[in-house]
Amino acid sequence: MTDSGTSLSPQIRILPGGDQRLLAEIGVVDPNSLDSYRKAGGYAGLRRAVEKLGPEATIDEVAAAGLRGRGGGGYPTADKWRAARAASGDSKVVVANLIGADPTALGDRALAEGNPHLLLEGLLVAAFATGASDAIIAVRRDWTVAIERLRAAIAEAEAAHLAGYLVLGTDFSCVVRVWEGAVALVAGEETALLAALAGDRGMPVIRPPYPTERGLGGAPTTVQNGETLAHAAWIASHGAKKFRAIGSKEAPGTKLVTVYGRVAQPGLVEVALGTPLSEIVALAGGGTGTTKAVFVGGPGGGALSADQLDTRYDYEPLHAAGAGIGLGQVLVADTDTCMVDSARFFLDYSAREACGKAVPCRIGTKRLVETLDRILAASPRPNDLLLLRELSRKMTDTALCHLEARAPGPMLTTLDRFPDEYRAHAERGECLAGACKGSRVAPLLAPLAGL
Amino acid sequence: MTIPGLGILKGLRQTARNYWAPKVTNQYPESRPTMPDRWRGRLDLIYDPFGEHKCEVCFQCAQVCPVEAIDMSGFDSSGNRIRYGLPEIYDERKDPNAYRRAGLPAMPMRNAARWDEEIDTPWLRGVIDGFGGKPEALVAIFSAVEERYGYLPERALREASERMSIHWAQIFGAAGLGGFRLLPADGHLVTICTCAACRFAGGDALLTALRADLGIEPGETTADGTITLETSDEVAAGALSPALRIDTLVYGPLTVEQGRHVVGERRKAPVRARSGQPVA
Repeated sequence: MTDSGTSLSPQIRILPGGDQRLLAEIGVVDPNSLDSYRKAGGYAGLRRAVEKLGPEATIDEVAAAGLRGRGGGGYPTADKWRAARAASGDSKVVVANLIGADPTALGDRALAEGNPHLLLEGLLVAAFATGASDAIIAVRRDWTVAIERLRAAIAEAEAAHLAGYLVLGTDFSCVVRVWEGAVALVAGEETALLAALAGDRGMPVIRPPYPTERGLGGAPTTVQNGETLAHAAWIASHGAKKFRAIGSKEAPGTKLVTVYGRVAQPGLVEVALGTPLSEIVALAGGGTGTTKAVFVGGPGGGALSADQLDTRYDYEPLHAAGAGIGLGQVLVADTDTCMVDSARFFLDYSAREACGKAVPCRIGTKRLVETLDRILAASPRPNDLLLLRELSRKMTDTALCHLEARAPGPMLTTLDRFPDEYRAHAERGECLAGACKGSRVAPLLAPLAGL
Repeated sequence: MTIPGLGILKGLRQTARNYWAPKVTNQYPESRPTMPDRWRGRLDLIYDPFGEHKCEVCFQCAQVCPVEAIDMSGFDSSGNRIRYGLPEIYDERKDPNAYRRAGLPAMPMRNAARWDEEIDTPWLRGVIDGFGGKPEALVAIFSAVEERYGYLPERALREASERMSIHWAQIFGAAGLGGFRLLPADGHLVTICTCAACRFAGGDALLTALRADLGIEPGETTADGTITLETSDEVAAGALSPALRIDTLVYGPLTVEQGRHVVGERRKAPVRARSGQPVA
């Protein structure tokens, strides 16, 4: 491994502004040094939880802070921890999900590279609260810098009795290890991640039983997104009240958001939940050209039109608008972007990344792409627009995992908000954005890499 | 209102009725029971008198399976290797079948010369044992093999399957879904990122330009064998978009001109030796 110094990978660009809480310490704290992290107040949260609060009070603290999962689901973290704590099992496991399922989302990678001890502290707090004796940090295998720094952080923390056996001289023990995971969209789904951890195909399994009851090797397992754990560490050291200081009432705190697409300065920002979308776009230097739509939530999200930019970036308002938080992706599209083609892109992406376990997903995404191809080629069948909606509804109804349930989102929302573009393509073969030239040459599905 | 024991009595009534009913033996095949329309009997592969599978990998069962749940690999009766694939990419597997029905030999794998590449078995065993042969280390083992060979040779996967006592299907599935290369790439591997960030930053233009320049489609190798072009969603270029990756290095953000230049320069550089030798 190369000595990477203290800088982040060039893939990560952190933009100034916003409400920096987790990002504030990146670049200030030396990611390779435990002392530096401790000087900045690190491991105070773990110390407070282990020595003062105890597991129940720690969960209560997280509940009081109103922390919700930052991986897109928005499930209250405290409820998950309570369920895992209440589950019976000889050993329990906590898994930090840093698989970064959508490669465009930069938040987890920035945290793992810029402040690995923060993630580790959050993981240990979660392990302490749920009573877990094993903790696994699952990282994408191509994030070599992150893996290297996390491993070093674990070794340092163990030497300082902050992780491993008998943490801080108490009887709480938690062995942490880094697991290098696969590179695939579905690998970020929690049950797929657990399957891959067991050496099986990374495919989701049906729930219930939830992993908090029976997860890795049958043990109650808490799977948390990396960012959620970082927030949990922050709550443990600063308290619930301070955490609630910013953010909305239903979802306090901040969220790491990656802004990209047609903006002046794409990159990673941290904003309080409830910030209007227009402000988030402005943090990235504003849109280049006239903004037409904003795709929020990546391939599982949806498109909001330009006049909806005052929508608050929060779980419920976005959900009501047909989008979602996802892993914090905000993609800005300008008037030169064809919405039908964009919808096709996201669906094609979902089709290529489909694990193939659930038939409605494997075949449904493909049929949706084919239908959009017919519309783009101006040769639709009479009921194609109806078919898009019907098929999407069935996929959502029969979904095995959330990736499948939300895969039609970008298509459905663009269909609702930009029906003219669909109609112009279908009836006249005309692209209102002027982006699609001639007939499509791209094959329906490019062969998977290496096959 | 429910009376306790009524359900048991109801059940026992059926038992009693069957007990005293006359016993009948149906004279199959003279008289046949009516079965559901789609009843196909018990599904099994049949064997010849020497104990060999009679399945010749004709893919017919895979083609009629309504939920497309069947896939296979192996040699057909004339010794052609049938390409294997994940059940997920079912469109692809129809290709050999289409060939077969046209009376043509089944399509060979893209790089027929290297599909059975010899591997350094003691080294691989060492790697596997180094991880204690735990199934959770599969991805790490695959990574080590890919680092050395540039892809996962089938023999390495077979060896891993044997050594770790894990089903071949499980090993192969984990490799396929884990984003590993299953076929070797000749020359420099140019991967163009097709993630959302790269695409909306103009990654399409990069792909179009390179396709025209090199005269190949994604998945193909140039005639002189110096460049293999492919696309992937997983370059994870982030702020570097639009980006492309050559072998292991990510370049970005690139204009079309810069992309052409970078590929042209790398094309001249020697390809690192992959097969059989450890990479320094």
